[in-house]
Formats: sequence, structure tokens, C-alpha cells
Amino acid sequence: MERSYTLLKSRARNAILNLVLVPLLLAACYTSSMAQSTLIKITGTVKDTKGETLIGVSLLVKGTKIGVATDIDGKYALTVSDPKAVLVVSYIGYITKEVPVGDKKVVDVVLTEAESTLSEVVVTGYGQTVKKSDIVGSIGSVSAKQIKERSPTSIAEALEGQIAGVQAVTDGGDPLSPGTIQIRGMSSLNSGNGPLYVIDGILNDNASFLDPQDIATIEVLKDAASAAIYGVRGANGVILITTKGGVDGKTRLNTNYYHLFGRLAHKLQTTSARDLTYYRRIENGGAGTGAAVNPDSVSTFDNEDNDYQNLLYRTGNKDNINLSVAGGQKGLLYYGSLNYINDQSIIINSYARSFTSLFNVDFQASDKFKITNHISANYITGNAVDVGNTASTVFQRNPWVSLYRPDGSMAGYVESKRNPVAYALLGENVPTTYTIQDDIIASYQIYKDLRFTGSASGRLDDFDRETFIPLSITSGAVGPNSGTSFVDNKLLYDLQAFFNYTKTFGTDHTLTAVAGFSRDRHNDNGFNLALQNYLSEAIRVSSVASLVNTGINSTATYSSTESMFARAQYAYKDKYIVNGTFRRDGSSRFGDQNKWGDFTAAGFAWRISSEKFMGWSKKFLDDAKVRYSIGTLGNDKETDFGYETLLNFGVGTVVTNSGVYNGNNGVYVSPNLGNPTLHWEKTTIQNFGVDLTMFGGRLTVTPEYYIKLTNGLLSSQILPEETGLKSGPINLGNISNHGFELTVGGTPVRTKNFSWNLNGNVTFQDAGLITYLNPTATAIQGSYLITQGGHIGDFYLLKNQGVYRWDVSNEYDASGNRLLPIGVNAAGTTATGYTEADGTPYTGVMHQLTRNGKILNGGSTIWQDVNNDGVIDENDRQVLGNGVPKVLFGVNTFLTYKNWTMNFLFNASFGNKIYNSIANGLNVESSNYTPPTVAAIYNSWIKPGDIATYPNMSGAVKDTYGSIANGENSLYLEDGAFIRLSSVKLSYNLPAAIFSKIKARSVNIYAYGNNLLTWTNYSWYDPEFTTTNPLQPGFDSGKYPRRREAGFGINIGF
Amino acid sequence: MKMKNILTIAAVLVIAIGFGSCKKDITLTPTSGVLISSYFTNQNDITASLAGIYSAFQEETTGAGSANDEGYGGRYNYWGDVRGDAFTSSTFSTYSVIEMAHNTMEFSNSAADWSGLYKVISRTNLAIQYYPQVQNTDPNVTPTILNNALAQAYAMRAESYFYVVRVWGDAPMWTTPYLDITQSALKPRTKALTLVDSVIIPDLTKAYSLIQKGQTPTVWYVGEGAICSILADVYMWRASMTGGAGTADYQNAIVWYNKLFAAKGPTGALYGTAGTPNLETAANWKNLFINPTQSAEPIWSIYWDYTVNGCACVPVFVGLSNNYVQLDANFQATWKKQYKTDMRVAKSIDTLSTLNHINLLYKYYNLTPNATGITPVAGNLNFNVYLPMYRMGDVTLEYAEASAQTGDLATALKYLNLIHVRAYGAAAAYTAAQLPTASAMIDAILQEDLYETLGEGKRFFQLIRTNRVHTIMDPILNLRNGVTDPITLITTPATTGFIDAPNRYYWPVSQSALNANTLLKQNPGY
Repeated sequence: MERSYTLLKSRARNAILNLVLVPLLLAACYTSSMAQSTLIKITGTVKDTKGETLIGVSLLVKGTKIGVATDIDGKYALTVSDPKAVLVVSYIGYITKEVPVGDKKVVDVVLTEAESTLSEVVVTGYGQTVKKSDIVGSIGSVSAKQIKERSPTSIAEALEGQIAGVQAVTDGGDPLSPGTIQIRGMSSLNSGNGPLYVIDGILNDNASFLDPQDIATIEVLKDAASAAIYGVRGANGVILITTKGGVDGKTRLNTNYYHLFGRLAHKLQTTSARDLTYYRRIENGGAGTGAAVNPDSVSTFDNEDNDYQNLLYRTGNKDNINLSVAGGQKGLLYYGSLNYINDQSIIINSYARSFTSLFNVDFQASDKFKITNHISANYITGNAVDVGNTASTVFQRNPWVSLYRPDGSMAGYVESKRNPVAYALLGENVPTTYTIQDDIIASYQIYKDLRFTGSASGRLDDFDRETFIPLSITSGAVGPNSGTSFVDNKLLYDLQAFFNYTKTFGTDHTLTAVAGFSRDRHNDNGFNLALQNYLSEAIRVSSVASLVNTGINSTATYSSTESMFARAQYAYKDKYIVNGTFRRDGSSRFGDQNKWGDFTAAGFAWRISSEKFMGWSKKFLDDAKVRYSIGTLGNDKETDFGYETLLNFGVGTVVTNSGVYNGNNGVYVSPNLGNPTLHWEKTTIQNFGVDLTMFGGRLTVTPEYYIKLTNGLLSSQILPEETGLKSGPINLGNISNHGFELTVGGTPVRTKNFSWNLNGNVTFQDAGLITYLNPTATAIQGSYLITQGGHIGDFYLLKNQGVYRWDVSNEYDASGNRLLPIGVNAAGTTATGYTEADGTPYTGVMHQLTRNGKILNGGSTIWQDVNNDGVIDENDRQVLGNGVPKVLFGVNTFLTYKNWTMNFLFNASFGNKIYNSIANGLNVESSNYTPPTVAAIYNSWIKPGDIATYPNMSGAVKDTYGSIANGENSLYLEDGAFIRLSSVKLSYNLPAAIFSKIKARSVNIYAYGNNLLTWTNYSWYDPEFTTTNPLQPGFDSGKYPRRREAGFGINIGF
Repeated sequence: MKMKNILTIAAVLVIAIGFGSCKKDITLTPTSGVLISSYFTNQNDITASLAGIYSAFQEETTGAGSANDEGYGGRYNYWGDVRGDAFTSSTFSTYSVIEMAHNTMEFSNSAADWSGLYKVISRTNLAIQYYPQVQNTDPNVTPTILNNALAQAYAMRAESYFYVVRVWGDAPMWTTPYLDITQSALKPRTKALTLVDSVIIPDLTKAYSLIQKGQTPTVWYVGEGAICSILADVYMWRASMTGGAGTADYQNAIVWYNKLFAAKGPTGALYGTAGTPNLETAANWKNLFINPTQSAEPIWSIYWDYTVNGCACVPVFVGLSNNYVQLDANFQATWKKQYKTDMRVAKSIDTLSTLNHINLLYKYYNLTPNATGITPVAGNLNFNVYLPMYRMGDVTLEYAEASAQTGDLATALKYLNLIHVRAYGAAAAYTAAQLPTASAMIDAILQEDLYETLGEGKRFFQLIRTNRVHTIMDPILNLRNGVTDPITLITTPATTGFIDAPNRYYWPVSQSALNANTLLKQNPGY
């Protein structure tokens, strides 16, 4: 610490010296170069501090236009006219260096990596970029370098724990899950809760087809000033993705390969045959017989002891091969990549295979005209093993039942429960997606300051899903075998035209602006085919089976948007920066009166460090900026024709009994009523931020506070059942989110051989406060309460206070306090007296609690009688927690020692609850054959006097007294907090001497692990999982369990 | 390229993308539905709308075409049979079914949901509002065609409300379609008797006045005979309601039975001649269920076609092995003793009392078990089930009941014997001496109903209508709710009988209905 402080002081001193000396030196050089004019040829090599040569480094003779770039070997040759010439050596990401030539013929340069990121350029959309130091809004970035450190396979994985306010959640085990990303809490309830992805300028709903390794930068636009230019769908934040482009110079080839092994990260205790026998005996009142107790002790079929968890899971293997090539010459740059992933995940027969290609070309046809094409193609397929029939069935099938039939084939249903192993192995659910996106951008520099860009892009997603259930795993193996084939085509096209203007007036005034138009269209057409009674299970075409009419249908829908937009930013001396945005969008999803939405935003920034009165801070403060932005964003994510009430027709709208009677197709009012008053959902965001860069860029601190208010929340309203309809879209209410984010980046130690870099972010959020709710909105939705003044994700449950020990324990005093019985008889049916909880005898009026019309007895759950009316019912539910985290954090650290680099990433979330619906469901005992959880087997009430956690397990009682309360029981509400060591990577750059024989430029080998450690109190597989319904966060109904991974890889550059 | 050209191209692009677009590009025509305002223009539109009404009702009776949340099938059997004496829950039951069989229902019971019936009602409301305008654009739609269609819409609305009134009692009244979401759709419950008097009876009367008389009906649709049958049934029910008019209602029922006799059946024959109903023969009795179009007796049956509607998985379906409902063991034991005397036994049930036999009802299938039962065609979902809504057989017994209630024991005996003799043969006919009182007569009619209309969705309503719930269900429920000692396996019957009558004659209003409409109040007793 002492040492690094001294270092900092000396660096600060140097910086001040430079500030004074450099201009003087420059002046001197300038004058002297005028005097002489001898030509001197110089050569040299440019390397980084690690000794690796740098390609494409620009060397410019100061004060002239003479320059050159380094070649593939980092070498250059240049002719200068004067030994006093100074070379300005610059390279992106490195500190620009000025080297006097002197009388040397060979000038080697070593560039130091820039620590300050202030000079980095951030893409802000529609052809605009801004220096990081001039950002007015709130933008978080992830660079290619950060991505490279973690080898993520999806965008969500790449963003996990990286940016404050961004909650990226992945389903670690599922090879086909893309994960979910939520920016600054939820502002929207409909499927539009995901952000908008702008990939190389094209608006997309997802970025699933991209390989993270092809990404140059990801910018997350969190506030309105940044995102308002994408007003139409920016309400949930915007993620700008720029894919890698070519670089001038010789072709660079890069290959990367890694292999990962994965295991089930968290094993749960499953019910053994012994546990089950014990349970069945108790359930049947202690008797050794009874229908449900396994009666046959000699049948091999009924005397196994399977641990289905061990049988279902395996060691996963993931391979990734990536090849990329980048290069170009003057005017033509290209980048191409091929990526292949083969992910054999941890459930047997569960896999994903994907193949992605990307090819980007920039062609500078003339000084003014440039054309760029991005084309990418992706193919992904896999087997989406049905979690409900495999991972969940692990706990439902009796362990003593054999996996096999006597003939050695896999048993299907036995005792009404599916065989999870047979389902995983023999059931098929193969989704395949082909995606092609092409994007042509042409730009023309009309004047020095004015550029016109036109672009046309299209994306085609061809999705199909083939499912098949063979005869052998159907009930009784008598069939019918069945399958479906589903095809869905989504076509999106997008046209844009805009002008960019950049002008500096004098030296102090800089103006940048963009204005333009865009329009896009989405078409979505689907077709489903269902077959059964396959004559051969080897064939899937329709000629082998009979068509199931009820499963044949086609769907079609489309939508379109038109927009005009403008943004301008003005900076005075880089000290005062103002920016304003206007966008007007028209959406086909609203009726004539409400089609258009106007979205405006403004931002202000003040570089306080440039003010004279801040002079005292120069020693440690490089840059300080305060900023504020406010603006409005929109959302039109609603059913395409939600504004109109339509008549629907028989076959094809629902899977079964599809409105056909006696050969006639029916017509009827769509159960989803139209709403002509439906209008844009608008989110207003205010953002307060401070950017501090200190100690020569070694410490950056960015605190931010935001207030995000959503008005006219688009949602679906449940209609009274007596209307004969189900729901209708409405502007449901208003939501507020606010939060504080802090991002800190620092380099505490930096010496020649060792450096330590630390980046952390923390978010404190109050998410999803419902400030206004349409009175017709349905309050109770499953386990949740949606109410004005409440939060999205509020769990609305009955409070479980334990289990009554005796029948006589169910006695309460007049004010509803539970009394303690004394002198209880063995049967628990009589007591000699009662005391209050504090021991004082009670002789007043007593009452008992009832539920389902029955007086609760010994072994029943003790529910809190909130309204003290003696009846436990829906009115006694209360808000007992929330499913959205209050605090999120991520810590990312790099340790570099010589050629070694080590990287750790921790992420964590706190303050949220999870409803363990799987355990609750298992303990319902709805089926004679489903064992409860092991915890319930050994902690249930069995006889009077037992102090138990779980209610009476007697089969005769089952849930007569409503003691399970599936979905409403606070016993199953658990703490969802966790801290995870989500990745560790150790990499080693081989010394050049070793690989130069194979002509490689660099060789890097690495070992890494994902999800190595998790600290949590959550009892089921994992506290982190994706949620499909934004109204129901934290509801664990059974997910693909997460895996723990470890592996190695190698990266070779040529 | 010259600057000028570039500017021109840029300008053209801007115009093409920006100004070239206009409102019409963001005003799209729906692809999977049409506007109401552009529909109801020709006869096909009426046909399709009626199919929509019937298919919604079909989904409510026979099911959604697959196993759904309350187990299998629609509510026809759950509402009418499972709470009665002939059926009970099986080993595979869900709580919902156990609750029905044990009279311990909760508001969470999944069959306690009226949304399906209101779906029918909303479709009929739309039909009643829009059919008349079709005449303006389609000259082929004659007043007769229009009136026949309207008659069915009115009758289907009445039939749906009739179910609502019988199952839940008071209920919100909707007689116009709800199409404007900006208007509140919350309505409180209207008194059951008001619904009967101001919707059900007027609708049926209107339907009768509109329907073309003397036509040979298609048994799958509500025709002249069906309207009469429903209306008579409504009067029978009204007589049993608080505030009902007793004898006067039975007289009205008899008036409508007689109008029914004047109507034609599916074969073109009249339903009754000279006061004698036209019944199917004993030999062809099964045609009523498996071939209703070929018999003179059926009045209205629900159509099914598994190829488009999916599995007709009624709760006592023979194609599945884990039915949630089975025959009551005592009922089965009692009836199978009559295997040789009552021709209906072998045509209705399997006489084996083991699993995969006792939980199957063969009535609706072209399968006839012998004394050793039959192995179900497991896994075969491809059976059509035609559930009878009304047929002359059950109407004849109702006529007998109405006659007994009004003191006309001779007519009652005559009609009861028509059914009894068909089953047991002429020698088994009841004599007047055997059934000397109205009460004894009604008991005998109910006994006949039990066998004749087994699994036809009528039993529980018959018990309520005749005020026999306690006498018949108390001993059965005491047995079902008895406690079995796990060691001695001795069952001690309960003593509570049918708890909380008459409150629990009605079903609870579902939680989803209460959640969606805050003006609703739960039924007493729940």
C-alpha cells in the first residue's frame, strides 16, 4: 500500500511535468524542423510491454502528414527529413508516445497499455460515436478483451456480473437456454421486458445468433439520453453490439479451442427405498401392509434402490472451436469467423450444437464513399430434454421401481410415474434454428462535416421443432407413439436513412448531430403438424403415420414501425456538454388515434475538473464530470392487433376441441378482447451520475442514481369470467424503479512484472413499485399479489407458524394469540388449562381456527389468522417477501505476473426470496405414488406431541385440513441470496521462442472454471434461474440444474 | 460519382424511406381474425356462429379434447353424476374429484368454474344481436332460416343459464355481448329465480315460437322437441326452488311434455302419439348412445368427432386406465345381481369390481361386457362419445314424476312402467298396489332413473329436485367419509351425512371467478 501510494505520487508529478514540458518541446521541434531538410531513413519495431510485437501501429512524423503503419512483424520503415523529428506513435488502447528520432537509424518503441479509458470511443447508435469522456448518459461497456477472459457462449453470460444495474441471468445447465437480461429493474410486464438489441445498427429482439467471440464491444444504454434515439422499443434499455471488423495489414488468423467438463453443481438428497418404506409405513398408520406399501419382497422389479439423480446426470463435455481471420489493405477490410460449439450437457442425451459464421467487409470505395456489409449465419440444434419429465421426475418416481422391463428394455410409466432415464434417452424434442442476418450500410461524406448513411438489412429466423415420443415410454407401452413438427418463420427487415453532422467551430465549440428516418417490419408465420401411430419409429415423415387433425394449424401475424429521429450534442471546451434527442414512432400495434408516440430526452454534463477552482485536485484527479439526463422511452410490445376485437375461427387456434361441431368450423369473439384505447407505454428515466478518473487513470469511480417511471404499463387484464372472454390488453398502471449503482475500476498494483486490476459494481435497487394500478386489474396472480403500493414480485402467502402438537393446541385468546395447553393427555385431546405464551394462565374466552370447514387438529399446519376471524382462508394471505433482488454485485479481478494472467469473477444478489414450488408440489401427496421430499419424510408430524416442521403425513388425512397449501405456504419461501464464484481463468502466454517455429504470432493456453463455488441458503438446485413471466420472479417450478465446469483451452494467433 | 448525383440519390433514399411512408404502412389488416363489423353477412356466417356456440357447449359437457385440470372430460358427469349415489372417486382421483364424491368441496375445486357456460352465453348473445342483419345482405336467408338459427341461440342461452342456476344458484346476468373493454364488466349475482323467470323461461318460450314446427330434427342440434324438453325440465326444477310455484310448475311441465309429443324425432316419427311416448325397443336400447341419429327416442345429443375434437375423455372413459371416477361399489354390487333380469346391466357397466373394470362405463361404447367383464381398449383414445342431453326415456320418467307430484298416480305408474317394463320385461311391471302413495311412486321413479339414466349427467339434479338428497346420500356419504383403522382395516362410518344442506346443494363459486369479479360473493357454506 505504502509503495503503491509513493508510486502514485511520482506518477502524478510526472503528469504535471509532462503538461508543462511537452508543449515547450513541441515548439522547439517545430522550429528546428524548419531549418534542416536532410532525408534520414529509419526503421524499427513496435512492441508492447510484454514484448509482443504490435501490428498496425500508426507512426506519424509530428507536424507533417508523413506516416506509416507497422507490418505483421511490428516493423516499420520511414523516412524523415530531420534528426530532430519526433515520431507520434499511437495505437488504440495504448498510450500515445512521442519519440524523438535523434541520430538513431533504428528506433524501437515500446508502447504501454492505456489504463485510462477516457479516450476510448463509445458507439451511441445511428453512425454516432462519442468519446467516453464526453458521455452524458449512462452507458456500460463490455469489451472484446473482457469477453475473451471468460469464453462465454451467450450474450447473457458475457454480461453476467459485468455492469452495474444489469441483471443477466443464465440457466447454467441448459445448453439451449439463452438466458435473460434485465436492465435497471422491470419497467414492463409484457414479453417486452427484455432489452432491445442493436446489432451493427440493426434493431433486433435478441442476439442469440451471435457468438460472443465475434463481438468487439457491447454497450448497454441504461438511461433515456442514451436510449431515446431508439425510442420505439428502448424502454427496457438498449444493448448495442458491434461485431469485430477487419484491420489494415496482413491477414491475421486466430484460432481458439477449449474443452469444458461439467458436473451437476449441487446434488440434492433423493428419496431412497429405505426412506420410502419408512414413509409408506407411517403414512399407512404404522402398518406393514396397505396398497401403497410395497408388498412384494421378492419381486426384482419392485426391489431396486435407484438414485435417479445419479442415473440421469453425467459428466458434460463442451467443445468450442473458433477460427477467425481479419485483415485488409487500404480501403478494404474484412473480418470473418467460424465458430462451432458442441455442448453435451449434464442430463443424458441433452445437447446443443451450433455453428456460427460471420463475415464483415468494409469497403472504402473513395475518400467519401464507404460501403459495409455484415452477414452472419447461425445454425443451432440440440435435444431440449423436457425438465418436467426428467429432472423433476427424479423426485417423483419411487426409487424401488426398476428402470428396466424383464426383457431388458427401458420401462416407461410405472406406478403412474415416468422413467426419467427412459424419457431423457428416448424422448425427442429437437429445436433447430437457422438464422441469417445481412446488413448493408452505405455512407457518403457529402461535405467535410456532413455524412449520409443508408442501410438495408434483413433477418430471417427459420425455427423448427421436432418432437417424438416412442411407443415404449407411453403409458403401458401401448401407445400411440406420437410426434409433432413445428415450423416458424420470422422475417424482419429494416431500412434506415440518416445524416450525421460533426463540426468544430473555432476551438471551443463542437457540435455533432444525427437526423433520419427508419422503418421496419416483422412477419411471423408458423405451421404445426401432429402425427401418431407411426408404423416405423425410424421415420418421421407424415406418410408413416396418421395425421392428428387437432394438432394441425398455421398462424400468421405481422407488425410494422415507422420512425423519425434526431439527436444533437454540443460541447463547449469539453467542459459543458448538452445533448438532446427527439424521436417520433408510429406502430401498427395501436389504433388510429394512438399510433404515434413522441419520445424526447435531454442530457447535461459538466466537466468540473476543467474548472479553475478545481485546481487543487489536479494532483490526484485526472477527470471529473457530473451529468444528468432525463427523457422518455416507449414500448409497443403488445399483441399485434390488440387494439381490435376480432372474430376467431374454429380449427387452428387452440390445440384441442378447436371450435368444430358436427363438421362445421365455428366462429366466435376472440377470448382476448381488443382495446381501441390502447396506447404507448412510456418510461421516463432520470439519471444522475458522476464520473471520476484518478491517479493517472488507475482508479475510476462512477456513482449513479436513477429514477425510472413507467406510465401506461402494457399488460393483459383478466376479464370477469361472466363475459365469456378471458382477457384484454390494457394500459394497466404505473411502475417506479429507482436505484443506486456504483462502478469502481482500479489498478492497485502495477509493476514491471506484476499487475493487479480490480473492477467492481454494485447495484441497490427498489424495483417494481406499483404506483398506480387500474382498478380492474386482477390482484392475486398465483402466489403473488399485484396491488397499488406493492411491488412486482410480492409473494402473497399464508404464514406458516409450525405444526400443532396436539388437538388442544389449536386454542386462541380473544385477541388471536395462540395459547399453550398444559396438562395434555396422551392423545392430545384434553388439557387441564391454558397459558399465554409468556406463561400467564388464561381462563378467558377461547376460540379455535378452522380451515376448509374443519377445526384444525394436532398435525395441522399453524397458519397465522391475520384478520382474527377464526377461519383460515384466502383473506389470511399476506405479503411475505419479494422475488426481485435488492442488491446485485459483481467483482472482476485480473492478476498478471509476467506471462501469467489470472481472472476471477464473483457475482452475487441479495434481498430476494424464492418460492420452492417443486418441494411444495412433492409434499402435496396428490398421487399415491409420489414420495415427498426427504426433509418431509423425517420431519413430519406423526403422533400427538410431535414437534414437527411438516404436517401430519398420515395417508388417511392427506391434505384434508389444508395443511399443504400448494403455492401459498410460507414454509416454502426461502432466502434467494447467493454469492457465486462464477468464473476463474488462468492463462499463460507462451514465450515467443517456443512457438516462433510454427510461425505463430502468439500462443496462449488457459485453464478455467465456471460456477466453482456458490454460497447460498437456498435448498433446491440453484437460486439463480430465468423467469419467463416478469410478474412472477423467483418462482422455482423446476429448472435445468446448473453445472459446475472446469476445462482448458488454447488460443493461437498467426 | 459526382456530388450532384450523390445528393440526388441521398434525397431519393430519404424520400423513399421517410416521406414515402405514410399511415397506411403502419395500418395493417389482421391476419388471423376478422372484425365483427365485416362479418354476419351471409348464411355461412350464421352456420359458423352456431357451430361456435355448440362447440363451446360441447367442450363444457364432453371436455376440451384431452385430460384437463380436473382429471378427464367436461363437467357433464361431474355436475350431474359424481356427487350422486352411483359414482365415486377412484384410486387415481384428484382432490377435486374426491371432494365431489365426499361432499367436501372447496372453492378451489377445479370443476366449480362457470366460465365455460358463460362462454356459451356470450356467443349466444352475439348471435342474437347480429343474426338479424344477415337478411340485409343475403337474400337466401329466409325468415324461417333466420328464426331457426335464432331459436337455437335463445335455447342454448337458456340451457346454459339453466346449468348455472342448478349448479351455483344466483349468478350474474348477461344478455348482451361484452365487447367494449373500456366499460366495467363487473356485475353482482342475480337471484336464481329471477334468472329462471326473466331469462330462461322467456328465452325458451321465444325459441319455441321461432322454431319451425313439425320438422325432422338433426339430433345434434336443439330442435322443437329439445326446446320443449328443456322448458319442461326448467319448470320441474323451478317447482323445487325456494319461491317456486310447486304444483303450478309441474302443471306447466306437463303442458310442455305434451307439446313435445307433437314434435318429430330424428327418424321423422312423432315423439308421442295419443299420450304414449315413442321409445326405442329393448333390443336396440344401446342405439340411444352409440347411434342416436338412427333411433326415434333421442331428442338432443352432443356430437363428437375425435379426429377434430380430440379425445372424448369423459371421466368414465374406456380408453384410459387411470380414470378418476368409478362406480360406487355398493351400487355396482346391487345392480349386477340383476344381470339376468335388467337388460341394461350388460349394456351399461362392467360387472367386475376390480381396477380397470369398476372405473369404466360401457354405455357410450359399442362394447358389451359379459359376466366376466371386458378388457378395456387401453390407450385407444379414438372413441366418439355422444352424450344425451334429453331423450324420450328420461323425459318419460320426468313426466311420471310430474304426474306423481300433481297427484296423478295412474299416469305416473303408466309412464314409469313404460321404462321399467322395457328393461325387465312385462312380467316385472309395477302394480298400483305396490306404489300406493306419491312418495312411494317418486322413490320408484328415482330408482328407475338411477339405472336408466346412469351416467347421463342427471342424477344429482334428480335428487335435489325430489328432495331426496338426505334419504339417499346420507348413508352413502357416511360410508364414504368413514374412517378406516389401518391395522384392523375396520371402517367406522361417519355420522354427519350430507353436511350443510341445502347450502351445499350448490357448488362453490371458483376462486378465479371471485378474483376476476370483485362484486361476486361466495355461496354460503364455502
